[in-house]
Amino acid sequence: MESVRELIEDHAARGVFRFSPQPSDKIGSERYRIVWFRGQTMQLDVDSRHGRATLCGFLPPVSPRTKLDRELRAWLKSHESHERPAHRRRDPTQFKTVLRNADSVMRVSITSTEGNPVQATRKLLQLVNELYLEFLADASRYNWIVETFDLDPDSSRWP
Amino acid sequence: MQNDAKSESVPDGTNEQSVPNRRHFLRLSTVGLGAAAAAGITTGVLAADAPAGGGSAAAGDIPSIRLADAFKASLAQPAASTSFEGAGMTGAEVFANLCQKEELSALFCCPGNYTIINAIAATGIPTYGGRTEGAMCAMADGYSRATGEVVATSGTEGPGFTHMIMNIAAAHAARTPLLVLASNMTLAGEDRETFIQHAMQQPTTEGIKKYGKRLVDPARVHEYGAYAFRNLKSGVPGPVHLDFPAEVARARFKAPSELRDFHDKSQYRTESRAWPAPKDMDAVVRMIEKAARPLIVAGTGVFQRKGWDALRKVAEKADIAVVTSGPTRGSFPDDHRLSIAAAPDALMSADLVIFVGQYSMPSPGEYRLNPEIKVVRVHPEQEDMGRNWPLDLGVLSDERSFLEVLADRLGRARRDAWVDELAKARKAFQTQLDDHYKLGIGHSAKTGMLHPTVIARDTQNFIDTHPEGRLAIATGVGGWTIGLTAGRYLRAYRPGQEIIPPYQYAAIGPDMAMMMGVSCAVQRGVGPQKGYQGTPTICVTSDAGVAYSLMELDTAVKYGWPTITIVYNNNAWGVWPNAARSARSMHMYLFQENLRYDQIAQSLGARGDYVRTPEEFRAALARAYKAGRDEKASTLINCQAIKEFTNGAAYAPGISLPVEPGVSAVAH
Repeated sequence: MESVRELIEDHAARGVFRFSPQPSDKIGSERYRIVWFRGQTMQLDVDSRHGRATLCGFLPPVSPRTKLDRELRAWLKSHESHERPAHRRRDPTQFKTVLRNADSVMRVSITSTEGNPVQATRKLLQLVNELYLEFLADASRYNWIVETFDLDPDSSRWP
Repeated sequence: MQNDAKSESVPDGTNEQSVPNRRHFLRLSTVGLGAAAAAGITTGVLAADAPAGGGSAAAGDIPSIRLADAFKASLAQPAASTSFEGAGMTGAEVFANLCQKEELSALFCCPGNYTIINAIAATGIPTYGGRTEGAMCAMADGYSRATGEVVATSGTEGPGFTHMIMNIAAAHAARTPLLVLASNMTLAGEDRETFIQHAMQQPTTEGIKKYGKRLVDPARVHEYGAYAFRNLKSGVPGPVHLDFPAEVARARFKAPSELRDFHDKSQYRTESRAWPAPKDMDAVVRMIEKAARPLIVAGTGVFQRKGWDALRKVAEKADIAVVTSGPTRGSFPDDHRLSIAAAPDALMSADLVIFVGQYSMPSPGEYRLNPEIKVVRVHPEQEDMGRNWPLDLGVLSDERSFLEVLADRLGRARRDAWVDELAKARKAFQTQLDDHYKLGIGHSAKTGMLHPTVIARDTQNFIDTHPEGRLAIATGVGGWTIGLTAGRYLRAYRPGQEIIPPYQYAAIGPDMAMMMGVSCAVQRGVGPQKGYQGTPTICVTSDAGVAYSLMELDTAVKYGWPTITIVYNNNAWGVWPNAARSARSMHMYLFQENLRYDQIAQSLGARGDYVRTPEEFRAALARAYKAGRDEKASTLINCQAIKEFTNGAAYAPGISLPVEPGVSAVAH
C-alpha cells in the first residue's frame, strides 16, 4: 500500500498543489505545508494512529453561521447521499467528516473508520478539490471569490 | 412587438415572398417600416415612401437602399489569368497565384493594400469587402473556425492594419490559420515619415502570430509566400502576417528565374504528418483498458484535422466519454450517449483523460477533473508536451492519425456504469437549465423585459424543433451576461455547428462579424458546412458586443449572407456590478437606455425586430429565419432587458460561470 507521503507527492507531481513536509509534534503523525488554490498556504496533518487527515486553512476566514458557512456544511453533507456514484460518495460508515469553524478559521477532517490514514487523506484531498472546482465555482460564490482574493473580475478563473 | 414607425399602409410583404431571390428582398426593403410591421417583417428603410428619423425630406426625395449595378457586375466578371509573358507579372500577382494554388479559401478585407487584394480577387479566390478592417478580420476568423480552412484578411498600412489587432490576437488564441496581409508603404521611404501611414508592423504583431515577415526583397515574394503557407498548413496553425512594401507588390517579373525559390508547393512543404509510435499506442491502449471511466477531450486539432469520424469510432468502440474543446464545437455531438459536454457532474469521475489536439492547454485546476486522474496528451508538436499540465504519457502525432490508429488498435469494451453515470449527469444538468428557464420566464413576466435564460433556451428550442432538422443552423455566442447564459443552452450536433467567438482571448465584440464569416461559409457550403447552404446562422450577443460589428450588416446584406443577430440589450456593459460599490464609476458602464439596435439594422438594409416578451421573441425568431431562408435577408432582433438581470440576488440565478470542459467553456 502506498504511504501518505507517496500520495502527497503524487498530487504534487500532477500539479495539483505544492507541498513541503513539516516537523510534527505528535508521535504517529505527519504534517505537510501545502500551497493550493490561489496560492493559499494550508496545513495538512495526518494522524496515522487514528486514520485521520485534517486540513486547516483551506479557505480564507469565513465567519461562523454565515450563509457561506451553512452552504458549505450542506454541500459536505450532500456527498454522503446515495444518489452520488459510489466512487464519488463519502460513505459515513467508512469516513467520518467534521468541519470546524473556530474564529473563522476553517478546518476539515476525515477519519477512516478502518483506521486507514491513506484512504482518509485521499478522501480529504478529493473533497477539497471538489470544493474548489465545484462548490466555489458556483456563480453565487463569484463575488465572494473576487472580493476575498482581490481578483480582477475578468480573470477570476483559477489558477 | 412591431416596430413603432409611422407609415401608410403598404402591400403585405409576406404574400410577396413567392419569389425567393435577392432582387425581391431588396425591393421589399424599400417599402417602409409600416409595411414590414404589417407583414411581421421589418425590412430596411430610408425609403422614398417612408421618411425616417423625422427628417424633412419630402416623399420621393430619398432614394432606396440598393446594390450598385457595378457591385453585381464586378462579381459576375470571370477570373483573369496572369503570366510571365508580355508585360510579365507583378509581385502581387505572383503572390496571388501562389494563394490560388494553395487553395486559399477566402479573403475578407477593406480597400487598401490595393495591388495585393485586387490580384487575389482577380484569380477568382472568393473575396469580400466590408466596412472596418477589424470586423473583416473577425469575419475571416469566423469563416475558418467554421470550416478549418486557411483564410486571409487584409487592410491598408497603418490605420487599417492596426484596426485589425484585437481580432488578430483573437485568431492567435484560437490557433486560426489566418493569413494577415497589409501593405506598408515603400522601402525607400522608411524612417522619413513620408506621407502616409508608415508603421513598423511586425513588432506590432509580436506575440499574436505564428510567423511574420516584412518583405524587403522583391525577388523573394514567392519564397515568403511559401513560408506563409508552410506555417499555415503545418503543425499547430496560427496567424501569419506579411507586410508588403510597394517595391515588392509592384515589382515586375518576366521569367520564373527572376524569382528566388520559385518552387511548387509539393517541394516547399509536405503533407506528411507525425504518426504515433507503436510503443506509445501500446501504452495508450493499456491505459484505456485499465480505466473505468475514460474521457477524451477533443480539441482544436481534432476539428482542424477533420478527425471527427475517427473520434466517434474510438469513443463508441470502448465507451469513452467525449467532450470537445476549442473555438469550434460539434466534432462530437452533444446529444450522443457518450457526450459529457452537458454533464458537468460526471467530469470529476473520469479516471483517465486523453487530450487530443488541445492547443490552448489548461493547467490542473482549470478543468473540473479528479486530482489523481491519469493524463495523456496527443499533440503534433513535441515542444508543447508537458506545458501547464504534467503528463503520464505524451504521444507525438497528428490528431486524426492518432484517432484512426487507436480505432484500429482498441478492443471493444462496454462501460455500462460509466454510460449510465453520463446519462444521469446530463439529465441533472438539463433539469438545472429547465429550472433556470422557469425562473427566467417568471422574471420576464414580472418586469416585462426579456431574461437571458429565455433568449438562450428558446433559441436552442427553435433549433431543436426546426422542420429542417437541428443540424442545419450554425450558431455563435458572445457577450458577458448573455454569453455566459446562452453558452449553457446552445448545443452542437455536427462539426462546425457552433463557434465560440470569445474563446480564450475573451474579446467582447467580434461575435457578430465572426458569425457573418460563418454565414459566408455556410452559404458556400465549405467543408463541414456542406449541405446546409441557404440556412441562416444565429448569433447571440450583447448590446456591448454588437457595437463593434454592427456596421457590417451592410456587408452581410450586400453579399446575401442571411444572418440572425439576437442582441441582449440591457443598457450596459455586463460587468456593471464592478462599479456598484465604487464612487463616480457607474456612468462608465452604462449606455443610454432603450437604444434601438433594430432600427440601426433597418437603416443598413437589414431587417429589425424589437421584442420584450418570450412570445414576441419566438415569433420574431421564426420571422427572421423565414426571411433569411427565403430572401437571404439578415435580421437583428433587439431583445430589451434590464441590467439588473445580472444580479443573482435580485433575479436568480444571475450569471452562471462556465464549467470547463463543457458546453459553456470559453477559456480552453
